[in-house]
Amino acid sequence: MNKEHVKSILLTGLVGMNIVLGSQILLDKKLWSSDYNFFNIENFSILKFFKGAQNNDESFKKVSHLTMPEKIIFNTGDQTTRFSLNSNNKEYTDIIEYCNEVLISALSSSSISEITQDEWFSSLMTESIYLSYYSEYDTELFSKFLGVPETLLSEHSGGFSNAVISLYDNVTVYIDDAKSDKYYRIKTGNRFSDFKKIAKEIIKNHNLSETGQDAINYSFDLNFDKTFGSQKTVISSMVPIYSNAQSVPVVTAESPWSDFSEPYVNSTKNAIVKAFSLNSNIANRYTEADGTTVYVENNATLKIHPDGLLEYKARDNGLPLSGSGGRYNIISAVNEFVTNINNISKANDSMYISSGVGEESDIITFDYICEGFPVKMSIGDLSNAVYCQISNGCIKEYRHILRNYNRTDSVISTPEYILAVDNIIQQYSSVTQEVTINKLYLAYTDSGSNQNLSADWTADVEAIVLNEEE
Amino acid sequence: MNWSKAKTILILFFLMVDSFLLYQIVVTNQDKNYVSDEVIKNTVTILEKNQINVAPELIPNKKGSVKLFESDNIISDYESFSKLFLGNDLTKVSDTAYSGVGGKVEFWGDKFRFTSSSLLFVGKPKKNDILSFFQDKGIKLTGCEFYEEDNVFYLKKFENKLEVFNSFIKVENTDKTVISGLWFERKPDGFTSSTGLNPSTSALIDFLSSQDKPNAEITILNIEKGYNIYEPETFHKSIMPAPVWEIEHTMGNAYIDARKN
Repeated sequence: MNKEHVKSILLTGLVGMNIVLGSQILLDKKLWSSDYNFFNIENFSILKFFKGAQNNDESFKKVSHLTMPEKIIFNTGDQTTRFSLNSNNKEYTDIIEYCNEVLISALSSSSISEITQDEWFSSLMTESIYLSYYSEYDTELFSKFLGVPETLLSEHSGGFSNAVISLYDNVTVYIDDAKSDKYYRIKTGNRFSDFKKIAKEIIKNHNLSETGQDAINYSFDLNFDKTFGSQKTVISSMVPIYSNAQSVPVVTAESPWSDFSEPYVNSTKNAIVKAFSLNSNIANRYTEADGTTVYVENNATLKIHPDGLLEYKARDNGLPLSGSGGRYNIISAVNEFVTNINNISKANDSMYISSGVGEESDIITFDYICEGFPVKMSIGDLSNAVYCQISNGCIKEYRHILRNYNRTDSVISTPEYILAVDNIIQQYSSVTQEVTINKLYLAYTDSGSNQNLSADWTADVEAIVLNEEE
Repeated sequence: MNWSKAKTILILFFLMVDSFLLYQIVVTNQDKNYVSDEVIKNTVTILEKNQINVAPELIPNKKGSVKLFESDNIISDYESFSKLFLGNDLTKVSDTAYSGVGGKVEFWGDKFRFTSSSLLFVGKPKKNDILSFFQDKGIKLTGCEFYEEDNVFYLKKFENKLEVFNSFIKVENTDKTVISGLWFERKPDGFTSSTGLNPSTSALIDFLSSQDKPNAEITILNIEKGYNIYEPETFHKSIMPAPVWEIEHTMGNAYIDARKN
């Protein structure tokens, strides 16, 4: 081998080594301070641009699933042929998207007029769709959830929990303001032909298929919203009264991990720990006698119970939520967090906001929906599936009961509606009290895992003492 | 162009550059894995100003990492553990104490004490005697080091060559046998991950502000890394022992969390 050949090989080797050593220095972040490393990926201005776009405070990401009504009642113009649907029915899914399009149009409309209660009631006596929501919505927030940044309706109505969409030529929306007992009509100026076609198709199919129909009357139809003589119990005007007992499926309630192997459960726990921004390598980790795994860091504690309960408590500022302040961003961020936890844990992800949307409260709660019905939690002192306390845009305290609900083959008939009303009257009735049943609806009650649940009538009752005995 | 001459110049140039890059990498890695003498010297100065004396050569200069692992308490629950020593015919004295013909078993969080009615070992028990005693009860103790001090016999727990500082079995065998301790055995699936450690100098600075620092002048006798069982006064069914720096001084010991944030 001659000298020139050796020099060529040596030079090639040195150039190769130069590339290797240079790459090692440039690519190993620990060898650079992030202040001045041009190659530090976080400093790339083009990536910063995209990150900024993602974190844009004004991006009204649609969270329209938070606006799903608890039930919709199709008013056919005939009280005996009304029928209701919930999220368990296929037609509900078909129609709800159209309903939201109509609502978006109404929220964008400027044609808003105050109407009388009679006109509101009249809208339910003709062909229309009544939307009953789980809780009261702040008008502005509801509008943002549907992707409408601003609405003139919020200048008239601060919040509502009921809406009616009439199926007239030009589809009109009616709102029952929750705070002021006022009613509003909003003209969309749009025929929404497809929406009306689908709605009428559903009505027609329902009329053809149902025999021995369950008649649905609103409380005002039967004057149950008024007191008579000594009868001091009233049912709010919009509470639907069913003539027949309802058939509801029996479901089982269980922790999402009950059938999984230990390695899977452990990897799920690690993912949950990461979601709470805890470092499983740094946190003190131990298992209590009942199998609860506890992670303790200087600034927070996370407990993962074997029955599916997660408990997080921050000692300092708390877990920061994505996005900046503003009620809409807070609720969206909490919703995103809850959804993420459900997805990681393979838990039921069908939930609704049960704490009411709009008040400037620092507590936000969610509850599950099962077979189209809400699930009431009653486990110890836990009365919601998710409890989240917010402070300065951070989660300070968080409790989440992870659950899966599975339908069984059994179906049961609930007690008749009128018996449920009688029970309430007996429970609360007294010459010193005026009782208002604000809501009466079917719900499951979950009092612990691994049990069969059947839905029963649940009431929101307000009792006012008229005369106190001395 | 004289290509041969150019190659010679390029070879010399790349030799210099590569030497420089190699030097940079070695020095930077040194900084990553070792504490500099200057930092140790500054730490000693700060400690002396706070009435803590320490010889610089005692301070470990290597940073390093440790393996993390989950371990199970040999006490699965108080009653089952007591039955191992007392048999099935035992009486529950309280939530944390059981008694029987064979003696008494008491618990404080993760710690236990068995006081036997009679002597269980003949003469001075050896390591294998104690291991066999527990083996007969279905408890396998691993990673043990045995030592005797003032007629009291100890098993100390080690994992991956590092001591688990507050884990021990203590045997006193005078007029009756008393066996006490706190012991966790690593789970069968072994080490789960590893974590970088804060240097010993950081631990010494943290010691200054910890509640374990006595309000008197002390001298540090030894600094060593190992593991600690977190909050042993509360019962844990299983735990991930925390990597710590043990600071042994003239008035006792302190344990400072060694994990890197």
